[in-house]
Order: sequence, then C-alpha cells, then structure tokens
Amino acid sequence: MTDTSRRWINRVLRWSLGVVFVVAALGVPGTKLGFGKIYHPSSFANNIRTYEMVPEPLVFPLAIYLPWLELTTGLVLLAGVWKREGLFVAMTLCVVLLVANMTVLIRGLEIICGCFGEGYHGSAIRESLISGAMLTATVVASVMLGPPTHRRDGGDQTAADSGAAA
Amino acid sequence: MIGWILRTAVLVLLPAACACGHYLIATWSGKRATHFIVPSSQSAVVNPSVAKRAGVSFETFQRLVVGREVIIIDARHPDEYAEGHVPGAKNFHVEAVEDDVTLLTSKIDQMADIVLYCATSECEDSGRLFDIMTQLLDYPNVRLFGGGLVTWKRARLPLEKGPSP
Repeated sequence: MTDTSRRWINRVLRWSLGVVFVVAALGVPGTKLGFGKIYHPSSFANNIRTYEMVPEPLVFPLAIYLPWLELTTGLVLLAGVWKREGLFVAMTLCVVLLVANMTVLIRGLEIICGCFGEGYHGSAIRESLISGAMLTATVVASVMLGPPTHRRDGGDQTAADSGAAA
Repeated sequence: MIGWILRTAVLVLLPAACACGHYLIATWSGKRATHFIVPSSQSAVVNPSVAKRAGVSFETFQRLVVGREVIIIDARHPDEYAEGHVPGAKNFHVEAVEDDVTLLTSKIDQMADIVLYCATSECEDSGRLFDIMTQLLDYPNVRLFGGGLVTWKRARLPLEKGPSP
C-alpha cells in the first residue's frame, strides 16, 4: 500500500470518527436526533444508571464529563492534531462502550441509550455493533498512521506525517 | 513517550476542566440549574418505590379528572399533547421546564394539588418533572399517575385535542 493511500484511509477514518464523536456530544439540533447529551447531563445520568455499572456518586460527574471528552476527542480527530493521542482516547472510549453493552446483553438488562441526542433510543445490540465498528475504525486508522518516528527535536512524527511532508 | 503521555493527559483532563466550567456557569446562571439535579433516592425516575408512594391509581386519577379537583399536568411534548390528552390537562413538557422553570412556576400555584402523567408506564417525562417539582421547586402536593395516557385510552375515555392554551 502506498503512503498516499495509507494517509487517505487514515484521514477518512479519523474524520468519520470525529463526526460521530461530535454528534454524540452535541446531537444535531433541528433534526430527529435533537440536542445532544452535553445539554442534558441530568437526563444522560439516568441513561448511565440503566447500565447498573457505575456507583451512584460517580454517575453524575461522569454524565457531565463524558460528553465533553467525546467533543474534545471528536474535534482533535477532525482537526488532525495529536492524531495518535486522539485515536488512543477514541479507542479507549469505544472499548469501554463495547464492554458495557456486551455486559448489558449478557445480563439481559434493558438500557436507555441516548447516545446520539435526546431523540435517539438505541438498544444494547445496536450500540454494541456501533461501538464495535468504531473500535475497528480506530484500530485501522492507528495502523494506517504507522509507527512513530523520532525527530531530532525530541518530538514524535508519524509515518503518515512524513508522507505528507514528502 | 513522555510527550505522548503528556498530550494524552491534556486530552483527558481538558474536558474535565470544561465540564467544571459548564457546571459552574450553569449553576450561576440559575436558569439551567434543573439540568443538574442529581436524582437521588428521592427520585421518581431512579427509585420505583418513590414513584409508587407518590402514585395515584387509575380509579383515583379518573375521579380527580372528572371532578376537576386537581391540576392535571401532561409532561409530554406539545405535539403529542395536541394529538390528544386527558380533558382539562395542562401541558408542561419536561424539556421546556428544564430550560426555564418560570414557565411552570408562573402558572402553577406552589400549594396546588397536582397530578402528572406522560405517555405510558415506561416513559420518564412525568418522573423527571416530578423530580424537578419536588426536589428543586419544593412543590409539596405533587403526585404521579404511572399508567400514562395509554391506560386512559385503553379504557376508551374521552380525549381532548388541540394545543395548550
């Protein structure tokens, strides 16, 4: 595979993931999805509770923090800065969501996932598939980024970056 | 490697700072304070026993509606309300009240006897409105009809149509 195609696969995957994360945080006001969870932490806290995994004192802080983490990660992926770090955080989020949804399926719980806005009501199976697909995308994007190459100034540079420079 | 760790730490901690700022600004502005109610053991959404304690049976609800003894509040979306609601019910959509509690406080007396309902026994809108009214606004006489409009329809009782006056 050429450097150009690797770079483009990485870009497209990163941009797609970035859009998904930003939509997950902000929703799409004016459409069926409506406002995202960043606007309604209290409502999102109730969604987290349905997973029965997080201790009560942590539910609300998590409900405020998670949408901001998704938004920041999404913007970093879209902007193309700190690609490796952004993909790592995205991958971690996907793994957490996938594991949470898998345990929900195993336990037979009925969850309310307002993952993509107040108008969105996803089931555990659908969420598992989405998080699985996103995890795959983050892994592929990371592979396409290539191993870091060390610069003389001590910073890290990716194979895709050096391709872009060339 | 150290650079990678530092950048990842920034990426993880920056949203925490944003979340803190979000919380502080929203609390200071007051208007959106309802978004930050922490449902506790007193929450009808979280704790089924609270909903049960505050609940009214279908027979009682029917009697209260017919007798116009209480204020009936429909917590659903205005579009759903316009399609059909319990006769005499007022519409206060929970999302609208979360955005601006004065919509409700300016129209409903603090000491009024109130019963809330939404679409079905599964919907959360009336529970969330119950939490706001009892925990944030200190309305003392709020009850819930858990059966929702679907129970009313099943009994083939009359519905009123049209938007909220």
